[in-house]
Amino acid sequence: MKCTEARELLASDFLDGELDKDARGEVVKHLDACDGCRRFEEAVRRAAVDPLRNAPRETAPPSLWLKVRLGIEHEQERGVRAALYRVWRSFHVPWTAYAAASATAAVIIAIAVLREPLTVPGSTRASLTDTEGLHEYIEEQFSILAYQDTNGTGNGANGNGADSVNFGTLLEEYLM
Amino acid sequence: MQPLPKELLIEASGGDIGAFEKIYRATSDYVYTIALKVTGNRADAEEVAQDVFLKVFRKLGKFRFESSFTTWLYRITVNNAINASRKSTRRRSGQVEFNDNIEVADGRDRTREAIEKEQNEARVRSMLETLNPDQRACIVLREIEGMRYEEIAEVLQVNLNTVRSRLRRARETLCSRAQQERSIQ
Ligand SMILES: [Zn+2]
Repeated sequence: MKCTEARELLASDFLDGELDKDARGEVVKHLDACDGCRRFEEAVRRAAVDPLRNAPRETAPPSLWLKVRLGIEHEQERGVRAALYRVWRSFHVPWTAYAAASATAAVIIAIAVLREPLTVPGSTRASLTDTEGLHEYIEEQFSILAYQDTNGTGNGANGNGADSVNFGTLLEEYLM
Repeated sequence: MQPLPKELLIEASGGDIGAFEKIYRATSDYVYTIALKVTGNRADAEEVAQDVFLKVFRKLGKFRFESSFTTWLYRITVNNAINASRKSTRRRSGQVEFNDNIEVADGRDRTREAIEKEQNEARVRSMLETLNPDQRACIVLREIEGMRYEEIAEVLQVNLNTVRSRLRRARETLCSRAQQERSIQ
């Protein structure tokens, strides 16, 4: 074993009892034969190990527990307050939510009002907002007019044909 | 630090302050000693120890017993102490310990034992002051807590070679400091 290798171990594993029996034996053999490394080992123990290993354990100051306890109580109080605040928040509706709700309601009402004139009572399709529905509605109206022309008020060839024609409201039927 | 009964830890984790006080009584001297050796002054050490126990109380509910409680407590202590040591100006100014010494020196009936104790404390403090916080923490766990390399590695969450090299560097520094002192005298 070379001195550099021995000294590395003397400042760490050998000194701290981390070597196995064989490795320790190697270092001891080197120490027996090398004055320089023996002096090195002594110096390390004296300067870097013994004063620390012999230092007594400190005692925590008596006031420390009181401080820890107060800290815990303070945190617990804060925790309760935070929980209460969370509950309060869950019931509280911010003004922005009111504003958003009002705006949404206004839009819904506006759509409903705008859609109203295009709704045909009695029609197979309630809504005519789409073009397909509009076409159907127009065709329906034309077919009614054509039926009136040929069977009713048109040339009067078939008098009772008028009975089957739907003229719209009961008032219109009465007046006619 | 002796391992603590699991039942006690479970009781404390449920918020039982009595159980927590028992944990505190069993461990506070260890926590305070490490904090003092790493920070180098009593004011910082007390703050560190207080923070450590508050953290433990807060986090105990989430502790899963996969690692040892004492290793976990050592880790929180060392990390807090290293951080405090990096931040603190007290160590650098030496103000707090200087005042402490004056207070002790004023006492009339000091025995020879007490004087020796004081001198040893001052020596240990000045030795540790020459090291950086990481080396200091490593050497405190080794020399004062008597931990094996594997335990130190677990507490510091570093590998064995890092533990080995930090100890070696720390000892080299301490030896050259002693040499300088001798050459001055
Ligand atoms: Zn040699």
